[in-house]
Amino acid sequence: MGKITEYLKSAIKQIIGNGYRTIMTMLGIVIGIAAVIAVVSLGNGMSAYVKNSLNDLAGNYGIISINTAKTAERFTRDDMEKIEEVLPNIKGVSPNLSAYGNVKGRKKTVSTSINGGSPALEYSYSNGIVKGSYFTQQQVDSGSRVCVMLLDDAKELFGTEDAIGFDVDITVWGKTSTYTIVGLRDHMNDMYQFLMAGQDYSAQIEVPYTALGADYDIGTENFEQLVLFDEQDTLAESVERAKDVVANAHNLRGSSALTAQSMADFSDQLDQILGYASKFLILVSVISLIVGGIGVMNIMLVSVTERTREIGIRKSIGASTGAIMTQFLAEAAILTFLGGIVGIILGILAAYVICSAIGFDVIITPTSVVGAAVFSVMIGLFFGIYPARKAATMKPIDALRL
Amino acid sequence: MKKLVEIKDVCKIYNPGENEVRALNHVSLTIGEGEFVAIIGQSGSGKSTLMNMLGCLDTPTSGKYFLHGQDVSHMTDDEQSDIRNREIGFIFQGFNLIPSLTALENVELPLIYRGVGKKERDRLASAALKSVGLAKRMTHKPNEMSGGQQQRVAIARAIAQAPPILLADEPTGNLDTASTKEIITIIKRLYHEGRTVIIITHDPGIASQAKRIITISDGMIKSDIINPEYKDEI
Ligand SMILES: Nc1ncnc2c1ncn2[C@@H]1O[C@H](COP(=O)(O)OP(=O)(O)OP(=O)(O)O)[C@@H](O)[C@H]1O
Ligand SMILES: [Mg+2]
Repeated sequence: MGKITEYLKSAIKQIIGNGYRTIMTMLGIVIGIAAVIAVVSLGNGMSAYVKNSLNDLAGNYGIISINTAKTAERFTRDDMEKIEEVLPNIKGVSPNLSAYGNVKGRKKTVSTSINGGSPALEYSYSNGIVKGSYFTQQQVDSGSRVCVMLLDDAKELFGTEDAIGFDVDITVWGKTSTYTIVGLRDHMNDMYQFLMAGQDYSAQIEVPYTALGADYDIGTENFEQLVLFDEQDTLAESVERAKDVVANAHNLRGSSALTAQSMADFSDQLDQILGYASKFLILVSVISLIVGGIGVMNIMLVSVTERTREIGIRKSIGASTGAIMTQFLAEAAILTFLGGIVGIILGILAAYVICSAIGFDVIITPTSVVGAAVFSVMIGLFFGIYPARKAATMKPIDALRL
Repeated sequence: MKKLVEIKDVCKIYNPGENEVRALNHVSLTIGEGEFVAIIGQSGSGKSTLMNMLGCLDTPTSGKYFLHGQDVSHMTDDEQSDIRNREIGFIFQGFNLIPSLTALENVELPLIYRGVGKKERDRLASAALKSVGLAKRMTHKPNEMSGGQQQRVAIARAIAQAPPILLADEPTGNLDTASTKEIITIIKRLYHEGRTVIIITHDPGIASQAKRIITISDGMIKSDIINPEYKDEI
């Protein structure tokens, strides 16, 4: 027992006495562990970021559609009222009319997509109204020619974001009408900018569906789709209940003519895609672990080879193989343990710095920390002990001659 | 005189096969307790090979080695380590100190492996260093000392645990005349204190101070004489 304490002390003496080698050995372990923690955290941060931005971008809505090939029934304004009656807590229901054309401002004419709906359409994007206000139910009922667009669109069309009250000419299928801007939405998020990069500028305009229908000959009594807006956690259920309401109203219970889809389904798809992304990241971190492990292995091998002579000297004055193994085991254990701790700290710091710099959430998973540390420590121990064992079982004269 | 080491018909063959070197060719030799032996011979004649065998640093290809009448050649690795620790003090031409340890720590090493407690170890190690005149160099590392001082640390290490046998393979080969004189004086004093000393040397001046002179040539003992010039003085 007393001897083992002495071998431990020998190990500590060697670690302190060989500062350079100690640092180099620890560096391999530190870098290996830190790299894995940082890479995994970066991956998780990215994954969370993509998911959040796509969710933001899309807003929380569900769509109920009627299959025109299977039934002559269509949704009506009554259906919307019934749904809002049965589900008073939802944000609203809107038809979903759309058209494509050009919009002309004082400064420029650009292409545009136009969505016609009820005031609930406001919730179709998460970027809210920052100037003016959304069009009202009254404006819908009276078929007012008012519109809402993005701050970016106003800037494009008028050269200013202060465009409330300005008129635009919207041309669709050769017909032109004048609309007054009543509200402006905030800028789209980075993800939208990213998705739209390189495409021709297109304005995104929302108008009362009554006005859209009247101006461009689109029916405003019968609809093939209704859009329902609700909070994310109740959305799926609300969509199902709304589907029941309209099914009852049109005698379509149990028919396949009605279909409902909500953001939740979309989220599942997204999860699948992100699943591939995280598998890829796991692969990347396994590769960085292996690279780190090879680094640790090399340094351990080199340092033990360098020390074969020391092992020879110790044996020549009476050290048993066990004594030398104990010392090298202790050395490798202390080095890898310290390296592991420093690596974990540096890895977490690096994850914080990198993720915050990019704007990702900092997500550190315990599995990556523990996995990386255990793997590096095992490699460090194995390659610290294995060559030492080889040297310790040599004849002392052969070890001395190296 | 009691037999201390006895080797019987020992051969050491390097690279067995085509390019084989017979470094020791059927050598038999007995050395008694308290002898002072010099081994001389041309370079490559097999002196170091013989010494390494005697010091249990190497094993013979064939033949037997008895120490205190015990057959060493069939001992396990750890038993041989123990023999080296208790019975033999080895002094190398190249000192073989551990560079990261201080003089005192180097001298303490064999005591650690012997299981001597910290206090006793300190006492023995500093006594050994004092006896070779290095009382003021205990905390110095090898690279802070001259060759002669390093060899004296190595001697202190060899004698700290008071082994009965002292083996020295050209201990002054790397040293100047003044240091050589110091080292030889110390070795002779250790002999007078009762140790068995076996020293390999190229220096006729050193060999002539030993009591018995063995000449090796081509892996065989060519002559083994009692030195007529031996004077029993330090
Ligand atoms: N590890 C080895 N492998 C192969 N041959 C060796 C080895 N060690 C020694 N020899 C050979 O064995 C012979 C004896 O070598 P040894 O070192 O015993 O000589 P020596 O008498 O000590 O010489 P020197 O006075 O130069 O030290 C030499 O021919 C040498 O080349
Ligand atoms: Mg030699």
